[in-house]
Amino acid sequence: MVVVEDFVFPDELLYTTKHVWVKVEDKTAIVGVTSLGQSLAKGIVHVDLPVVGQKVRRNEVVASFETIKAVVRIPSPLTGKIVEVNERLLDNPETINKDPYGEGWLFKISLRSKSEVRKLLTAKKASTYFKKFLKKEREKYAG
Amino acid sequence: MLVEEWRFIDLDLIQLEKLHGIEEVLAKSRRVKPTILFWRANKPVLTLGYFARAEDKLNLEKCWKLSIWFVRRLTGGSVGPLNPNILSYSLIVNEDNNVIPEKIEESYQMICDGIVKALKKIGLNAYLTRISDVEVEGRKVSGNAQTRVWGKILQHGFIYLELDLETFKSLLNVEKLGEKKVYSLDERVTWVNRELKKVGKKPLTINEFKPYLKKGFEEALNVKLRDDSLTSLEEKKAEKYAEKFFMDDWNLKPELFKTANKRMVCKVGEKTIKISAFIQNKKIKDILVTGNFNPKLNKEFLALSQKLKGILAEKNVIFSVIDGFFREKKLSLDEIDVEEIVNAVVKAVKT
Repeated sequence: MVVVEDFVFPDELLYTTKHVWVKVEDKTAIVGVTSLGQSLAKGIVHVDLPVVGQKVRRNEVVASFETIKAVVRIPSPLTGKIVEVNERLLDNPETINKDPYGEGWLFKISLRSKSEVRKLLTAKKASTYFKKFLKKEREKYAG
Repeated sequence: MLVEEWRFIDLDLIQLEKLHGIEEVLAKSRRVKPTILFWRANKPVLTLGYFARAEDKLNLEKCWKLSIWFVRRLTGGSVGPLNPNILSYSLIVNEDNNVIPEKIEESYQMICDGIVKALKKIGLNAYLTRISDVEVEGRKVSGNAQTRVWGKILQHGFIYLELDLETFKSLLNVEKLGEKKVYSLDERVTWVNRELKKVGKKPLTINEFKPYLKKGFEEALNVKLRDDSLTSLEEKKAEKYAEKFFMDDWNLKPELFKTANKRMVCKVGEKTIKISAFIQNKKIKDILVTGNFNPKLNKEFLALSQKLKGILAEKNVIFSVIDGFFREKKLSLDEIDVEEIVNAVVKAVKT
């Protein structure tokens, strides 16, 4: 497990720079929001999930959630077909905040090809990226 | 430190659906410079949050009666009024930018500070509260909403220069929202010119207020706003992106918008029936039938849509449901007859 400030990046997962984690199991990928991603949004009050059977392309917006003050869209990290969505989130969207790497998963994709998996970041690479990201953020806000 | 130059485009009066098309084209563009748009709705219209249910928030019959429609926006929140006396802005910038923080609360603080600065410059004691509202003397004068999409931060908001609060209240669904919440708007909302009058200052027109807001943003964001206009390609693409915001399923039933595989507009004399449906295994899984009839009938079409859900997409079944619906309701259909409605629905789901 890699830790960047207060945020955890489990080793067994892969990541995008858009705060999405991916767990690849054979030809299926489980997708969720990272602990850093959910902390930027806070207080998730609504979730909009894709439809099972929907074909999705990498980087296409497929899910959204509304926090107390903003709507955040989630791009699909990989190309494929949605095979399952976490319907429990529709009634309990705050689960994403409480357990982003567990019960707060968003959807599962049946992958068209595993070649795109190579484009995802390992926990180590993600931590390097997000260390820089957090530093830049602090500089921005400090003016 | 070098001051960044951002695009500034004053669209002035614009149809809300088209404005959202412009926001979308800029948010989807890979190369666009950070941009601030100023605009105002060209007619009274309601803006509805992405996740808000229109039927819960609004008295739809009243909306139809007053011909004040609503448009679902990409950002969250509840419902608000827009009209030519309300100045609105949209800010679109890459998430990976040098100015606006990624953290939502901090980004609101920075952007809304532009509004606070503008209001202070005209003599009002404005401040940011509840993350994204700007208030004067304890009453909201500006609301702001944000989304993170296609790698961009999109924030838009409004500043009430004048407001017809009574009409707005009459359009709300008092039953669902609660009388207290609706009637307390009198104590919770205000507008710039009312507050200016209270402090003995002259009211401002939209055009007089615009330079203050522009300057406010420049100071708050530490950027230079350079006058610009949309390119012809942006305008062309925006027309395409605006189509969604005109669709009744996007505005009334967004869950159907995602799945609809049949859409049709049928002209029946001077009237129009619009149908969006999701057909699977010869069944109507979901459907929305709307029309430009009298307010009461328009509302009944929403109830009819619910009745059609789940039935076989066959003419005899559709006829039986529609005929039964209008008989049960004892509705007089002087603008259209049952056969015409059936034919429109059948045509849409069978095509």
